[in-house]
Amino acid sequence: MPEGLRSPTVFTPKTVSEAITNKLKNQDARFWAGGTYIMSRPGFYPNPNQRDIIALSGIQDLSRIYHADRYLEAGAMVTIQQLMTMGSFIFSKELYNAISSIGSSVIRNQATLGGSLCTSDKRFTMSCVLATLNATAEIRMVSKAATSRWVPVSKLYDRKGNFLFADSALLTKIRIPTDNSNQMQFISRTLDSPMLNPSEAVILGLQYSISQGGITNPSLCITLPNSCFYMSQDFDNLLSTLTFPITAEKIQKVSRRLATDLHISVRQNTNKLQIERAVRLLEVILNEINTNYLAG
Amino acid sequence: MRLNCNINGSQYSLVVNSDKPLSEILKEQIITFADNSQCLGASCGNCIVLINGSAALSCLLPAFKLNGASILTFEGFQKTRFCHDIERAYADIGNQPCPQCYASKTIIIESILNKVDKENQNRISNFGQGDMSQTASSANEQAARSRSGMGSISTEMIAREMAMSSCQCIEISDLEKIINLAYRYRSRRRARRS
Repeated sequence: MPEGLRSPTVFTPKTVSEAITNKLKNQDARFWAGGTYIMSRPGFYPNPNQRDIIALSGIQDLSRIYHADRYLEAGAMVTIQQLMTMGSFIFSKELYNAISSIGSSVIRNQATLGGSLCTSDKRFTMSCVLATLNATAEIRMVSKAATSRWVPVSKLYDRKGNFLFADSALLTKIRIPTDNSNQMQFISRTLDSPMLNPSEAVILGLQYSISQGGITNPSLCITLPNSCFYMSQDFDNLLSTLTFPITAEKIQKVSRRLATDLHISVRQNTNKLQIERAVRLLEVILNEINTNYLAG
Repeated sequence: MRLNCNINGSQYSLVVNSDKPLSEILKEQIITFADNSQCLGASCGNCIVLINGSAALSCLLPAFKLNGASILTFEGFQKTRFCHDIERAYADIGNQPCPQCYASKTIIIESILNKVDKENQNRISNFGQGDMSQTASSANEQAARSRSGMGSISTEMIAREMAMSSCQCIEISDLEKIINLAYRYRSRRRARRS
C-alpha cells in the first residue's frame, strides 16, 4: 500500500434504505454501481482524496427485472448484458441493436443501467435511447423521509449533459415502455465509437409516428458523449410540422435550426465536427423517412 | 483491506487499498502482461483477464469486488489446453495478433468461444426438454451449424467484441476463420472425450 494513501471504507448495504442511511451518515461517500465510469476517470488511482464507497451490488432489489404488459422495469444494478438478454424477447430490433452497440460484452457485463444513466459522460447509448423512448426513472432522494419520485430520463440532465441529481438522490429503477399499440417507430444511429472516440462520436435517437401525411409525435434526442444532451420540445414541434414529401428546403430549415440549438447547448471545448455530424445525421434520417414513405 | 483471491491457480492473501484496480495489483504483486496497459482506464483492452471464467477489464475492477474471485491472467491461460486450441488455429490460418495485443485478443477469442459454447449448450438442452418453440428443422439446422463449428459466430459479433481492443493488426475475416477453427478443435476434443 503506498505511503500516505488512505484505503476508502466500503459500505455494503443490503437494502436501499440502508444505502440512504449510509449516505446520510457519510455525506462524502459515493454510490458505486458497476464502477466503469468512476474507474476510467483520469487520476482515479492513486488519489489521496479518495472518497468512501457505498457499493450497491449487494442490494437484491436493484438487480431485478420485471416485465408488465406495457413496460419493462429494471433495477439500477441490472447490467446492460442482462437487459439485452431479457430485451431480445421484448424489444424491437432497432432498440435491441441500439443497446447492443454499446462496446463489447466485456464492458456490457460490467456496466449497469443505473450507472450508465447517472454519469455526465454519455459514452453509452443508453441515456439517448431511453430519453427518446420516454422512459422514466425512479429517484430515491437522500433524506431522512423516504421520498421517491418518477422522473422522465430526459429530465435527469441539463443541456450540457450534467446529471442533475448527483449526490442528492439514488436512481433505483428504470421503466422502459414496450407497448407499441400506437405504431411508433424508433430509429437510433451512432456515428463513430462513443467509447473509443468520445470527442467525435454522435448518438441520435428519434421516435415518431406517421399519420395524415406527416410526422407526428416526434421525440428527438442527440447526445455528444462528452459535451451535450440535446432534447427540445420546440424542436420536436418543428419536426411535427414536416409533411410528405419532405423537400430539401424543409430539411435545410430543420438542420439550420438544429445547428443553432446545438451551438448554444454544447460545452465550451466541443469539437465543431461533432455538431456538423449531428446535423448531417438528422438530414440523412429525414431523407430515409421521406424515401420510405414515398416508396410506400 | 485484506484481499483473498485465486490468481492463476495459486491462493493469494494481499493487503491492498480497497479501491485499487486489479491491473495495478497484478502489476505490483505479480508480474504480468498487464504492463502492456497504457491507457490508465480508457478501455484500451490490453489488460483483459478472466474473472470466474468471463472476460473483464482488470483496470476497471476495484479490489473490494474481488474477494474470493478466481482470476486467470494470460500467463495462466497460456498453460491451459483451451489456449492451445487458439494457438493451433493461429498457426493453421497463418496469421496471429501482434505481440502488443496478442494476450488481450487471445482472451477475447476465448470469451467469444465460451459464449458460443454456452448458447449451443442451452439450445441443445432446451430442445432436449421439449422446447416446442423450435421446429425440428431449425434445431437440426442449428445442430449442423454447431457441428460445423459455426455456432452463432457472426462477423458483426466478432467486430463488436474486438472493438474492445484498439489495435487493428489483424483482419476481422481472419479472426472469424481463427475463431471457427478453434471452436472446431474444441468440439472435436470434447466429442473424443465423451
